[in-house]
Amino acid sequence: MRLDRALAVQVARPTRNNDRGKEFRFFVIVMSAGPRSLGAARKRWFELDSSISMDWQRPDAPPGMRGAPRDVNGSSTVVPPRGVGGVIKWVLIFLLVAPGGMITAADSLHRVWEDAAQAQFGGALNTMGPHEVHAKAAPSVLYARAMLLLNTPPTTESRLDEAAQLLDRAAAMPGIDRGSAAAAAYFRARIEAVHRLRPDLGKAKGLYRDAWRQHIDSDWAELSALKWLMLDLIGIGTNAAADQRLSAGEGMIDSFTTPPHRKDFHLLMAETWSRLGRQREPVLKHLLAADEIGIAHPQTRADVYCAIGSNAARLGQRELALRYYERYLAEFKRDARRHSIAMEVERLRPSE
Amino acid sequence: MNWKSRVWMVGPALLIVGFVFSAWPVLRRSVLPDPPDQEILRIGHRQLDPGMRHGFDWVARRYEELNPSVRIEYLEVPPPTFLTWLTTQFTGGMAPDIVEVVVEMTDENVARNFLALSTIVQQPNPYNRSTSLEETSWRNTFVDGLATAPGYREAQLEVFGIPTSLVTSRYYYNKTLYHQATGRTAPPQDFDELLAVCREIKRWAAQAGRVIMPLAGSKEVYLLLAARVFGQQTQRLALKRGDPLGTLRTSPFDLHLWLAQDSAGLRAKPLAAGLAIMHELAEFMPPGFMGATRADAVFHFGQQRTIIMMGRSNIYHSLMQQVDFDVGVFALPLPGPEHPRYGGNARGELTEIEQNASAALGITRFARNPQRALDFLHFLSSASINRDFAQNSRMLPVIVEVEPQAELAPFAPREGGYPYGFSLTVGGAADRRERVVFSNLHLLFGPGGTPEAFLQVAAPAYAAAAKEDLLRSIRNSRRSLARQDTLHAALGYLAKAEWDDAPAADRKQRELEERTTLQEFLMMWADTNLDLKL
Repeated sequence: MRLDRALAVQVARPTRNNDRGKEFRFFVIVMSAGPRSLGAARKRWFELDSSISMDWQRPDAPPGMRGAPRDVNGSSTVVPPRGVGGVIKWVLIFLLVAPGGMITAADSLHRVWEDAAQAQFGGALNTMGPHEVHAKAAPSVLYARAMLLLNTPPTTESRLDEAAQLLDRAAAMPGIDRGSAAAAAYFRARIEAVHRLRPDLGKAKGLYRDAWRQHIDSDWAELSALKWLMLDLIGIGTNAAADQRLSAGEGMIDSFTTPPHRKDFHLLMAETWSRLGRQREPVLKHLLAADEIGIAHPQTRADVYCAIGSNAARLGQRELALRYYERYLAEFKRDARRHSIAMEVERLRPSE
Repeated sequence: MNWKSRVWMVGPALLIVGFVFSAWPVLRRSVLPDPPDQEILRIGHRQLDPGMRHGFDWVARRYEELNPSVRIEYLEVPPPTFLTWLTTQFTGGMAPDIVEVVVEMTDENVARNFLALSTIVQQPNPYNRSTSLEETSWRNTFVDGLATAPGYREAQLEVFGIPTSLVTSRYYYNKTLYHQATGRTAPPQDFDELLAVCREIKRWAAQAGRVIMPLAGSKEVYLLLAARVFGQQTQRLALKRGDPLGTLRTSPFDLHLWLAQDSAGLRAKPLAAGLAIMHELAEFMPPGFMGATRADAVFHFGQQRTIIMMGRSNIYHSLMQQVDFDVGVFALPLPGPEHPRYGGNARGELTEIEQNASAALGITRFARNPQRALDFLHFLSSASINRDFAQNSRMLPVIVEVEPQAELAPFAPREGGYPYGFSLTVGGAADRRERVVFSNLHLLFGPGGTPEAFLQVAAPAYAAAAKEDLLRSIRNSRRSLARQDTLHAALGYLAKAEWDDAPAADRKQRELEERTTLQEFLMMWADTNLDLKL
């Protein structure tokens, strides 16, 4: 195994206050240095550790800076091996981490996901290494590897197949928790919906339905339901007329119990009513319901405020339109619609 | 073996000695060591305009005065080689502490090599202490709220770069020649007056036997003009065709879909009016201007062979150094809603409130002291320093409440006005439509060219090209959604993990789900309705 200095330092970067994690990282560094002798390994360790310790000791590292050292409580607690005891310690660590591969340490899995959250998919996959997907690998490892395979070049069909198999395997494993199983099933459907060169939306719809029905109490299951509904509303795998699809969609409201997904359901219904139904009342009703729950992204919030204002104004609900337009003006100081909305407010405001 | 038989060895021996001699210092150190008791902050950027260089230099000296142990070094890289240079720096692990974040970088490249700043920008900038911005989050001290590219990456919902200036576009004019040719001193106030002025200049030049054109032209000028002309003419059409929900902001997917579905889309009245306006303006530009570059246009203007030139605010400093005549600046006057020929399509003047901030600087993962790099960015973007930086660089300030200096006031972004409609290349992918438009522009701008001649040839091909572009846009959007799946899974894990950033990961996960669900709906809607003819 070869690991260059920059990557070794990255792997060694402390992510949690966890001495075992540090021991593990220490082991990774020493092994990655490719020591030809104990002396060379120690030399390499000191060489690498000097920069790592420097990072750990830096008390002024900005606490919120992701990617910068987070563990600033002191220097490394890892003591370079000295004598027979040190070597025994090495061997013990090796025995501890080797059976599950590098990734069995929760600390490292966390590190992999941290890298993935920064869109460093290739780096995260390299950190996992190629050899950890053995028969006894934990479902969390299979799931992580599948998700990284989906976006690490080259994203070939065979890689997508491999990812699909890993997700199926992970979802079916007895030790997997409900949330992870639902997530694996959801992303399995996503492979057919968006990852394939030629997506199969009919198959994706079926997989979304399975993911939703089989993991009913999970957050991810509700997301599967939302994506199933989206495909149904635009007419995938159904011959129902537009108004029938819309009314079936309305009937699904109770499938969304978590506030974020219920809000996304309302936003989706508002978009669909505006295109298929071309009626303002249901659009306004859904937008108001979404706003009541709370919009997450500022851009969506600005859109929703303006859409409530314009739909309410056209339906003659002047007070409601004014309320939302004024909220928009108060909250969004640098949006391109400010002037138009200010003009609308002037027009709608009753003359003195 | 005598010395004669060994003489052949001299060459290889010298080669080996030379190699060892050269390799030794390279192997011994990968970066130059800092002088003792001095910390060097290295900053790589591609802002080679003299104004920006001067401004950066001024900031560096102020920062060094404040921190005597710090020295700031700029690595100025020409734009054409910037990305290649950066790739080698990142690959070799020798990137400067701070590097300009540019739009051409991929999301993964940015994420891999720059520190994410979203959490930090929620805190106030310490250098704004004792000012009216003392309690404002760093993010909200920027005119764009750090929500525009290149510093902000929508795909990751992350801030990686801190912008330093704003760029707008205006007409520059040669005050002396303008007065000589037209007898006027004030710049034109509306579109018809601009045309009248151009006619007067053309007549005056012909009478004086001088080869002077009223307007400078180049491909860049065309692009700047077209964005505004079509942007204003399509304000109403955009809302009609691209805003079913009533957000008063148009969705590019809906507009693109309409252009692909409607074979007569390019003949829509507002687009035809835009072509006619472009045709009228091109009459006053040098023949064959589409083959000219920005440098050609500036050269012609400097040589007094054109009197009025459309250009960006960031060339102001260098232009002032190059020309020895008085230069005035005015905003492009466009036909408003009341215009007798082109009115009715527009809602009003175009707003510039969302003008993108530029020259964004980010902290690399290779920064030897990220805290120092962050401190410098705080310093550079504090209200008082950004004001002075803008003055020294003759650029527009990027911090709210900082007014541009008097000579740059005409460049200040217009905050009133209405949003842009759309251009002929609306939507993500536009290659095919660009080819149709650019390959037929000679029918609009060439000798005997007219909007109708252009439309006769371009319109039938345009709808088919729009469809091909839309298919590519859909593929791109699908790729982007696919890419966000791994990000989504990661945020899902981190939001549930026991660590300090779990609430932030949860917030990002919810934002991502909301945005991607809507994006996916629009993409799927366009995909399933693409073959529906209007």
